[in-house]
Amino acid sequence: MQPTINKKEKASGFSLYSFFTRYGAILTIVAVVIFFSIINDNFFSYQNVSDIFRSVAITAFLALGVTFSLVVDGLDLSVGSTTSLATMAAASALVLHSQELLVVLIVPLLFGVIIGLFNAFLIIKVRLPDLLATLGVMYVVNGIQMTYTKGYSVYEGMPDTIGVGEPVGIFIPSFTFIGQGEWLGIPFPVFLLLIFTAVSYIFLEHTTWGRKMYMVGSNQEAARLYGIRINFYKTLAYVISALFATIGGIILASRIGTGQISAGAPLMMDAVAAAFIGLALFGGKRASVIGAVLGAVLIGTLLNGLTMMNVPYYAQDIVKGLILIFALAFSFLRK
Amino acid sequence: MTLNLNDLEHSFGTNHVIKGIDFSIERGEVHALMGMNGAGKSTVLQIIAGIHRPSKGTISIDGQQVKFHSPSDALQHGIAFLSQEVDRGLVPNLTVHENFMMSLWGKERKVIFNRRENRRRVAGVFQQYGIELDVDKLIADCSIYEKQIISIIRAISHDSKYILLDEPTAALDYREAERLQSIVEKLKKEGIGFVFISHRMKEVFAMSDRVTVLRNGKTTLSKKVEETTIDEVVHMMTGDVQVTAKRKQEGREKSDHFFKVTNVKLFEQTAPISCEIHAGEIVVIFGLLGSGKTRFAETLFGARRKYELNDSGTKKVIDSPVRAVNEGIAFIPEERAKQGIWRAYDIRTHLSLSFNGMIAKKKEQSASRKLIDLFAVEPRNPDYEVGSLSGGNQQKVAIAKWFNRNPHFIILDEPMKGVDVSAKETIFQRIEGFADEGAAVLYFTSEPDEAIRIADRILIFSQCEIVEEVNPDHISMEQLLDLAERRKGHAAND
Repeated sequence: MQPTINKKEKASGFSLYSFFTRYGAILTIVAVVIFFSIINDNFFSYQNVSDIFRSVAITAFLALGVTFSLVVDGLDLSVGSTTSLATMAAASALVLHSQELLVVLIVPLLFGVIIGLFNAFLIIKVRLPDLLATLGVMYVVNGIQMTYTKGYSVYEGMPDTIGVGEPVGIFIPSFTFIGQGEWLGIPFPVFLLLIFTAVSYIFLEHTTWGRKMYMVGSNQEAARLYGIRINFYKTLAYVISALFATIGGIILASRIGTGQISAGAPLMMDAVAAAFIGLALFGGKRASVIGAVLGAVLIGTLLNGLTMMNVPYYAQDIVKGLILIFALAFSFLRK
Repeated sequence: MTLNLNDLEHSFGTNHVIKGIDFSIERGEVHALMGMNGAGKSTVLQIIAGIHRPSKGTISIDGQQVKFHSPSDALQHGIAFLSQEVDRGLVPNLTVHENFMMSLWGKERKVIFNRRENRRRVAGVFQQYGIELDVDKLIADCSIYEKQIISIIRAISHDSKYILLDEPTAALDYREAERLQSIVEKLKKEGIGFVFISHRMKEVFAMSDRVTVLRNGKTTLSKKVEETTIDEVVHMMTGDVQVTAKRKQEGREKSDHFFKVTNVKLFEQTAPISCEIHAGEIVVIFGLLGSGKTRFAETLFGARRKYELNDSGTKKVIDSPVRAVNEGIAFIPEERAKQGIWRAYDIRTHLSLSFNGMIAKKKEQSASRKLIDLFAVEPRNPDYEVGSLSGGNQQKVAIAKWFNRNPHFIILDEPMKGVDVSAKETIFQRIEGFADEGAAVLYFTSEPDEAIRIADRILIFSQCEIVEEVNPDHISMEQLLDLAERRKGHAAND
């Protein structure tokens, strides 16, 4: 009966209810920005906004990945570990193996594809529930990146603790540009995010392949009995998910200039939360890339604002959790 | 000791399903409820069971008027309803005795229980009725028959006085059906009243004391079994209008284009099936519930096992639905909502499924409009959500979504299930349209009127094999039902 109601509202022009359900995420972000701007003068400065977006970009990439898994009615929990592995792979290639840009980018992306394929294999062939399969993969991948460096972080001029010879490589400028550079005043990660969001959006919303991906998630049995290649679309979704997590990891390594151990672990929760906040507050009944990015922006803005208000980092999870609960409750009550 | 329904009426939306029915169940009596698809049988049972509230009319027990607001209300009054899905109400990963005790705990308000004592009690109950059953078995490991028995006996130990069974024997083999019959016989003597729906005439005449026939929501016959005959019951079910074959056979030449399968097995242990169908032909596979026909339909679409299809002489291996679709096979599955449509998506999305590449909204909309007009989908709005359509219109969309792919071989499994009368004829005509344009149509059904209406040839299907071919011009509905039933030995686990 939902569509008939919507139709009527459309016909009558403006409705407060549909306005809120449609623009919930944007309104909330605007409210948060206004609130923090009033509280703190430095909040709305170019420097701070650019900082917010730099950190949001990484979470947003992971959230995009999670969104693709949500589209096929799954949930990819391994994105955090994939990010960690990508960070570590890129840092190791630079510092331990003194490689050039191309290799430094290709190696993590290759790992990403493998992780995505492995997730898909477990879910499609072994028929594990998506949540449990990716939970298992999350541990395995996290273990792999730690084992490779024997639990040490990788940074320029580090001692030979790992045993691959004296690390002499450096974070080359072309690599650090990815996370730290700017282009036309726009931080490069934000630029990347815009491009990939646009491509994902066009794929999911404006091609029949993206639509079929949604349809596989919406009614898998009907899709199978229409001859839609459900395994192909599910595999594609998990590979894309892992690739986005990998891109997030590359940006992270480039931005902080080191390979921090398990750097992606805290990002996984933020990404899942962002994807669900987007799903809940962006008015649609289905996961969308725009929603996920806005969810990430909302979380990033809040965290930044809270930090400026001197809310200690250990209390910030409470706020994050409450927002997620609020957003989900809002969307379920609507149903 | 009677449950009475007086002047019952009920509608779903604008669809008036029950138009004034008087019905009664005596305790210690088996009352059969019969009728064609859509006659209102199931609705009557569901009203007695408290699932629907009647729009008009009263229910009374022993002269006292009652109102049920929910199934548990009905249960409180001693009415137990066993739907066709016997699993409902049983917990698959608990044992028989645990399932059995679940309902008793509620009644006895017990929190702490003694496992050994429970097992003894439950085993005792089964023994009392002469039923051999391992009470430690998991429900998941039980057969449909066992689950039925457990549900019935559990209902009785819960003080149910009236038991409503919706096609209890449809999925049972004849030995199980006989055993069920003897248990019903025993319980009858204890003063339990039964209502059951069945399509099998012989069973009805063997089991029941009274029979009521519904047609189009009205009672057309209500008599003691001794006072009526199978012929009379069938006549009352179908009415005076004899369904006649509408397909004109003359003047049509058999096309050279054909599809043929040889020695396809539905299960490892069942007999191989062979059949042939020509382009432009509509062949009905007529089989009762539990005959394995859905399995056959799914197999032909590659959704079950691999098989070889002979397409006018070319051998094609069909091992998946994807392959089947690529070879020009279309499939309209029985469970429309679960398998045939996406409830949350609009009509346009369904009708543009064959498109590839970038989504061109305008093009899709005009293509959808054409199909909407062709299939007379109401409302004629491509942006309408399919889940909000009526059953008949959903089915039109489910069939129309294949249209743009130009399938050569169309498999329909019970396409008229849950389709209102007004939509039926449109869908029949569209199916004929497919055939006229050169597709081979295979139509699976258990409804004799549909079979005779649409078929060029009818193949009788029973126990996972084709047992006979008949001409729809020279057969009546009674004969058809009789043929399908006669071969009924043991059923497939369909």
